[in-house]
Amino acid sequence: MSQRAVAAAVLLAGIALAPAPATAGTLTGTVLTKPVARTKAPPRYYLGPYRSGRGPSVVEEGGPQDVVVFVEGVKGAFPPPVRHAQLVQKDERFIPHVLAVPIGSTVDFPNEDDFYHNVFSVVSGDRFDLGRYAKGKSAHQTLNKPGVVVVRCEIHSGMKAYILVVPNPLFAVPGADGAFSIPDVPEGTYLVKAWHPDYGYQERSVAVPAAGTASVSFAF
Amino acid sequence: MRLRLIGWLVVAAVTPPGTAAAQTAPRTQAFLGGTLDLAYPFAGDGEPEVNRLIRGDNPFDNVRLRLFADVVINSRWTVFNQILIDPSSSMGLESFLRSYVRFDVFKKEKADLSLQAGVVPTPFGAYSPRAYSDRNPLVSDPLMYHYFTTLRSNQLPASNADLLRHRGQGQAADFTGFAGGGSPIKFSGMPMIYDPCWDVGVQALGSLGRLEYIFAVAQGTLSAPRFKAGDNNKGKQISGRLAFVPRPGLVFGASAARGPYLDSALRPSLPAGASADDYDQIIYGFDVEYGVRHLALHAELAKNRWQAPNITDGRGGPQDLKTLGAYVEARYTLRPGLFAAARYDRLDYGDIDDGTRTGRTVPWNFDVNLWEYGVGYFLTDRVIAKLVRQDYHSAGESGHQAFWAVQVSGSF
Repeated sequence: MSQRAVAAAVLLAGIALAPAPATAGTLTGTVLTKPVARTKAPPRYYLGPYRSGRGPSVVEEGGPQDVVVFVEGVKGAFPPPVRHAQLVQKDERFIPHVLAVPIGSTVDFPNEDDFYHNVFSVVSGDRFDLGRYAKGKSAHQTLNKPGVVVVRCEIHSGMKAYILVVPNPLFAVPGADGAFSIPDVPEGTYLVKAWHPDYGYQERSVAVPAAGTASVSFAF
Repeated sequence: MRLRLIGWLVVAAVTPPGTAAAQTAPRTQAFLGGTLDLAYPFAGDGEPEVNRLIRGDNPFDNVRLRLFADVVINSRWTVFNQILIDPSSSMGLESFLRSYVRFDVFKKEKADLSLQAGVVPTPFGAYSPRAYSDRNPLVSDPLMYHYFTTLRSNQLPASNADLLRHRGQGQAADFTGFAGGGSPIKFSGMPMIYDPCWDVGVQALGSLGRLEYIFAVAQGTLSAPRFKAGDNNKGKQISGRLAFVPRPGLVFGASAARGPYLDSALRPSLPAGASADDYDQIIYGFDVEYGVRHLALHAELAKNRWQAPNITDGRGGPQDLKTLGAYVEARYTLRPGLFAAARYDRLDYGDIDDGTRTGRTVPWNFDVNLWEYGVGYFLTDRVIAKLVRQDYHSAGESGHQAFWAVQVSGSF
């Protein structure tokens, strides 16, 4: 490796490891909501192993991991992430049940079931229909409109997922304990929103310091 | 052998169902839902009479509400209930009730078996699961699943000439019927398969590798189902379907059914020594389903014959009444939320001796064919608006009928 390359690597590592700008704080908090065990509606017709799955008949939904917390009104340009997000089709479900992506993101929809799925969305946001494709294949969609995208499968009416397209990369999906953290929030007072697929939006006005932490909590 | 089978079923009933054992056992839970269809036909040169069903209802009626109440009792037992409410029908709600129980015997990775009993779904062909407005890209049902011939289960044609005299009248609500005896009540004829009304029976269904199967015993027949307990003859219909799924999106199915269709009350009018159980409906058919990207194709063909009293060939021997039904249907997504669909559908009737002793043969009913095509648009993920046109052609006097219609169908 040449000296120039080593110097470049050190410089890049320095940038990557450098602390956040002195004028950015971290937004932390908790989301209180309990997951609900939901029995999936039984199929009225037998569709066979190559047209429907043997997936679990009971699923847990609506817990903290189905909530998205994001910051609105942050000034600046936010290029869409290069890395694609994923919404997997497996066991006749979309995983995760709720996905959050910044505006302009591309979402991949890999099929991991032995049978066809046909992902589509016609509710708000970007309308799309990815057609039928088999196991091991994927299709993608770029989402350019902010808001809630309701995703369904045209073949399996019980499949449903939500993609929340947020205005910038300053968002978080809480862990199972409800805790979340959004780093690198520029100093200022912002509207912080939390969205739950069953209960909709809640919002708080939060002052984020130039350094340090601001806290906010939501309960659904 | 029978005791061993019963014992095995009892053991199966109380043990966890294979892969489902690892799941959380669901509590008894009810799932309520339904579909609401609002339609308006712009009748051109004919009312959409060709679509009229036995109970006076019609898929193009202005308002049709279907309610579902499915109850999951535990991981093995489920009760399915549904009822259709159509203000255009003068018949009681009980005639629109479908209710059956399903018991999952086992579910393995490569095989499964379930049993169903009650007023059970049509175990023939591949259309029945797609008959609901939220699954049907068009509005009507294929002809072979509803279009009435002149033949009836409770009335007999006196002769070939009597049958031929009434050609094309089966679809009429005031069909006066034949001179060979039976019920004097004005009513419609029988279709090849009547999917809008299910039959009382038991079914075994499931899969084995790439094969899917259903076997059924019912008190009525596909052309004359009995939606209430209480048979109209002593015979039972045996039916079944086997489907092979070589790969996702491609299904080949084969179905067959046989059973007596005549009402025992006709016995005094039958030939000497004959009983109603001596006359069967015998039907077999093939279906194929293919899906790729934005295209879904369905096609079915069914060959049917009724063994009919008083109908003879040119030499005076018994002559079966044959019908061939077929349709091809395509649905293509043009852009997100917008699709186009078309179905070509036909019924051809077999020839019988015309009774003039000239050796001339003619179809025992008028051949019909029907095009239905249109577009659909998802207003929301649960509401579809459809605009369709139906073109009906008959070799009989009714000739050609065509009309446009709109339907807005919502599911909840």
